[in-house]
Amino acid sequence: MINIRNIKKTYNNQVVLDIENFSLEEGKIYAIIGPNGSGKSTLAKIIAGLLIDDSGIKKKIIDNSGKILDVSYLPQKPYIFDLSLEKNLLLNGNDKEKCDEMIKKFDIGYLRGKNAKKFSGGEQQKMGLARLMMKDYDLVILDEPTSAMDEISKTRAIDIIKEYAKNKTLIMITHDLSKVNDIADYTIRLECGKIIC
Amino acid sequence: MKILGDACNLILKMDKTLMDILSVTFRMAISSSVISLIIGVPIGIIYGYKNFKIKNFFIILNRTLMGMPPVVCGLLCYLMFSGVGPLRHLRLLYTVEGMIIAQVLLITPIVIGTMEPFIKKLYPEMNDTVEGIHISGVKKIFLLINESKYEIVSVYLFALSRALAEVGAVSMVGGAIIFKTNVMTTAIMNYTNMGDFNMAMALGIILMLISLVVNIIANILQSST
Repeated sequence: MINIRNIKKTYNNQVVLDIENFSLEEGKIYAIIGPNGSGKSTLAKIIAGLLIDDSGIKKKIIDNSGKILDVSYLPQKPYIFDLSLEKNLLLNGNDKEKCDEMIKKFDIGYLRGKNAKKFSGGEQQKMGLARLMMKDYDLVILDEPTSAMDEISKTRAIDIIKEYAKNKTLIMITHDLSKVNDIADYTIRLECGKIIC
Repeated sequence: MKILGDACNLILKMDKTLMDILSVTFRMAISSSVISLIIGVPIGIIYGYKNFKIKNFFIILNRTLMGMPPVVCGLLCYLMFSGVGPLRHLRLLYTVEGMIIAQVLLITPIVIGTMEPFIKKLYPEMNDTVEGIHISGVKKIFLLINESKYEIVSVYLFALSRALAEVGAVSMVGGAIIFKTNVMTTAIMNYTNMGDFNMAMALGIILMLISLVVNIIANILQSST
């Protein structure tokens, strides 16, 4: 089990997140849903260590055995570097075979050699996902990873995420309730900075 | 019209005095703009993405230096390098090297002040992605530089233009000595004062042509981003 305790975040004297504790079962996929401004991305960034909550200390995510987990995070709009598709993917490791495998999996071979800044929103998201998946992590957090994709690409991406998430714990923030049942083992609903269910 | 014609003639014939002035100008301008870039870009990047206690003080200081009048810079350098100055033993007064130093003092704050807001905007955009897949340290800096490459080239072109067009500091520190420290801007002033409008016009035409080329390059760069 992964226990996440006491997350509180205040912006401009307003509490945007107030979670006492919750636990994640290792190896499962969690969907975090909730209305805009409910604190989903803030929670994700605090867990990933990109944001520091009111405690002033960067969160370390630890499992029951005391191991500090290797946490990765994919923003909703992953930053695309002024490099080719391959060079963008190889920023996360030097494995060229893995790079080719990811390009094939996401069906973005037609973008080989092209500057990633010129990709469409959906293509950039696929590339961002592929880049993260170049390596394995203990806990993976994806913030609306398919929001800019068309339906076919979305379905394919969900399948790839499910396959990638085997033996990992994955948290996915999504507004797409139709896909939640396809992918998530559990759903966490956030409203006004608190976990409702 | 006759002056224009004579000026063009001087350029086409590659008049020896004209070529010498161009040579000194380019040596000074290219050296000072490159040195300013080498010093200013890393500092601008650090100011843009790092948070440290007295950062605001340094930013305000840099912005003040950006507005320093060239003649004030020239005066300070003159006092430092003159016979009663602390750096008199370096013998930099009335030399191209002294002019380069004065230009670097003028241009470096401008380079820093241009890079800092660019990096300040860029860094948060890329940081979540970079931190999310544990890219840090030198690799992160190289990525920042990669993403800033067009901005760096634009900053260099601006620094070069500034170096070419500056007259106050270089005339005070260099003395506009013929065949030694006479650059285009100081030469235009001198030749105009002497009534030699042909040479002054020739130099003016070349300066404007350089400015045109720099702006064309900057425009091409902007279109490609």
